[in-house]
Amino acid sequence: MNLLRMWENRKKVLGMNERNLSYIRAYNSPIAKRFADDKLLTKKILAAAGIPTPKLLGVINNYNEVDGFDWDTLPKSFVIKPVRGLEGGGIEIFFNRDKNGNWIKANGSRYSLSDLKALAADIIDGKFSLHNEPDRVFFEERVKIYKGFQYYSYKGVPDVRIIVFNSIPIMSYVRLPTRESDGKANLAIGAIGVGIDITTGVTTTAIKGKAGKIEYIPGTNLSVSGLKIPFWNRILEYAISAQRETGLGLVGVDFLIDREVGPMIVELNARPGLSIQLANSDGLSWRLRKARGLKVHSSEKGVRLGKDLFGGDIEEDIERISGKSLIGIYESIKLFNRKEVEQFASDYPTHYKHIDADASNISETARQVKKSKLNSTGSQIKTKEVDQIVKTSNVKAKIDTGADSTSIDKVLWITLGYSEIIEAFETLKHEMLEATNTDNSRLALDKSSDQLNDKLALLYPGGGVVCKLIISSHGRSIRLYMDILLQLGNYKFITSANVYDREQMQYKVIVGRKSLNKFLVEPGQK
Amino acid sequence: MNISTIYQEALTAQPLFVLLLLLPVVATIVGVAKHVIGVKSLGIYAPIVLTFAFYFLGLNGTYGNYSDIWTGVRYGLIFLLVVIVGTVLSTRLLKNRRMHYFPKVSFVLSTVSIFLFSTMLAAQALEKSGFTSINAFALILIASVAEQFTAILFKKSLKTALLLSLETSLISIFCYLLIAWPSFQQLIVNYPYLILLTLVVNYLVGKYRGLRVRELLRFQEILDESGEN
Repeated sequence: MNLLRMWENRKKVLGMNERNLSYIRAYNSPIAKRFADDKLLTKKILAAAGIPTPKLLGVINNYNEVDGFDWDTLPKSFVIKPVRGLEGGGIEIFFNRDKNGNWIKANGSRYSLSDLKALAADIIDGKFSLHNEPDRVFFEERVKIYKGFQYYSYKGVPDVRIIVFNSIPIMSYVRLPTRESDGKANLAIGAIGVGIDITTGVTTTAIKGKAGKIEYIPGTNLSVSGLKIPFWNRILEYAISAQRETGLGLVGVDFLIDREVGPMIVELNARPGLSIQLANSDGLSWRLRKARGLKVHSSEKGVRLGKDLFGGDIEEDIERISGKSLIGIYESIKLFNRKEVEQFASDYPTHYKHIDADASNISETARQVKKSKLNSTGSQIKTKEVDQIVKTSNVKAKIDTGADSTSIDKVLWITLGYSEIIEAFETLKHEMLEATNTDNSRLALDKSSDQLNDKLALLYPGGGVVCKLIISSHGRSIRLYMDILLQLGNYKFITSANVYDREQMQYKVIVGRKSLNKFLVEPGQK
Repeated sequence: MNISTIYQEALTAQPLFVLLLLLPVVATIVGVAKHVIGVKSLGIYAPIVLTFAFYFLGLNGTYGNYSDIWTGVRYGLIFLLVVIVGTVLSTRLLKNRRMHYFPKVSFVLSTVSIFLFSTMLAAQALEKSGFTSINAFALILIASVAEQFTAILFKKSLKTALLLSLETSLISIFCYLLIAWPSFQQLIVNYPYLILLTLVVNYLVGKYRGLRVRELLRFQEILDESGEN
């Protein structure tokens, strides 16, 4: 413990005193706070602004309505909440209904109709509201856990919080329910809080409960860091809109991410807690001071400012500044069927399309990625043996800045529907070489290659099919080059690649310099 | 007659008037404890009331304002324990009953009174002489702490309520030690204007935006990090 350093850093962290006086008292008006505290009002305001919230299933306003409420209209799975509840009190989640009509909670315990009515009456009594004021009950649909979160969360759904101030996202964390927290995303009872990098939406450091750093999800070997929160940009934009709509200065916006619907706001918190700083290993105070006084006119601007000011990750910075996508030397790429090339070329005349990381994430989960059925029989493989032409193929490629052009294994070409061109080329090449008596001199090969190109141009007038004389340490050869559509990093683009028998090689695809205009290669990154 | 003579005479006639001068000191300490140190108490009322309850319990009629610390703390904590046990038991009893809040708290307070009264009867039966000179007023003060305790019990948990009570007792004992200290009392009696200082201190604490001592410890890891920002 270095006391001097702690003294110097004292203005980095936000404490209760500063939060209350400098932010809540100063920026959160009583009216705005009342909006945030009333979950039904919050829902209305957000809905009007086009921000998704979980579907409202019903409301009970007073005792008289408890018996009158048609309980059987509730689905098997729903959530009951107090309208003005505090710290998650009074919220119960039901997953199913048994044969006797009892509702079942995550921990297996059952609620009969009279139990549920008693809970509703308690809520109306004000058992869970501030100063025991009379309250109301409402029912919401249960949010279904996003698939990528399943292994990180015990029973409940992770809750992503964005602290927004002055239309700028300041800090964020995701709370993961644990066994101790009984499936609830509440740090006070033992849930995990994981910090999120504002720029990338990827998790960083974590605490369990109110303190105590952890590196792995307890009971698993899952690292808490490196989890990508889906729909990140959309979450940030919704959070900012919510803050602007309610007129709160400082607010904690809580999201649940539904498997089908995506991010939805469940709650606005006008008095956000301070533990988020521990989860992120960073203070809020300096960030709030930086955000103060900036003029932010739109949520897009707010997102950009938040990312610029508070993001810790240099990689996306490089991407945004240079417009280039940062990749490592081994990357998963996606190759598309021959038919896609033409369509893509007409849709995107520049032959490049930037893909938002979020968008690719959504489509990835939404559709099953078809895997190519390659049964490798080596170089002897004939066109007819490839029984299936695939739409796309995912392969691991080596990014080789030492190579001039991109090289793709012949079998891959065939599975992507290029067999006709390859066969035609090989026939032509064979005829040509016979005609020259397999003269392997440079001059002869040059001439053959020119003649071949003329014939190819006649056969495939659309272009994109050429051959070149390659002189390498393996000798001289004429290789076929064709246009292919591929997806690498944040780009989908058309590039020319050669056909080569890479059956015996570790990587079926080598991406060379000519295909790397839009990329920066980080050699240390794998 | 000038003002200082009036002051002297008033204090001679009613020596306990000095407690009115000590009240601001106690209240200020509770405020500082919360916002500068980060002590969590059962509100501001409970620690003040408890401090004076200790004081009255330690009073020994024959020596005027002298409050015996050992007596005050010992009886104070015993009765506080009785109050806590009474509150916990009665709230348990009412846990799942739907009742209006006031009658609920009254129910708890009644139970607590009965518990305190039974304690006195038991002491009588066991011929504990110390209990005979107990100040009933002090008992009412301690019993009133039950309201805040009940509120926390209903809202939060037993654990939270007990922790808050512990911190409340500690801060009350500290305040009690200070106000029962004869030299300190003498200082306030001699220089009553010093009390005006509490107004200044309260104003300053009310404006304090820095970290509390407890937060320094809580966020130590972040604060103890080198680097920019």
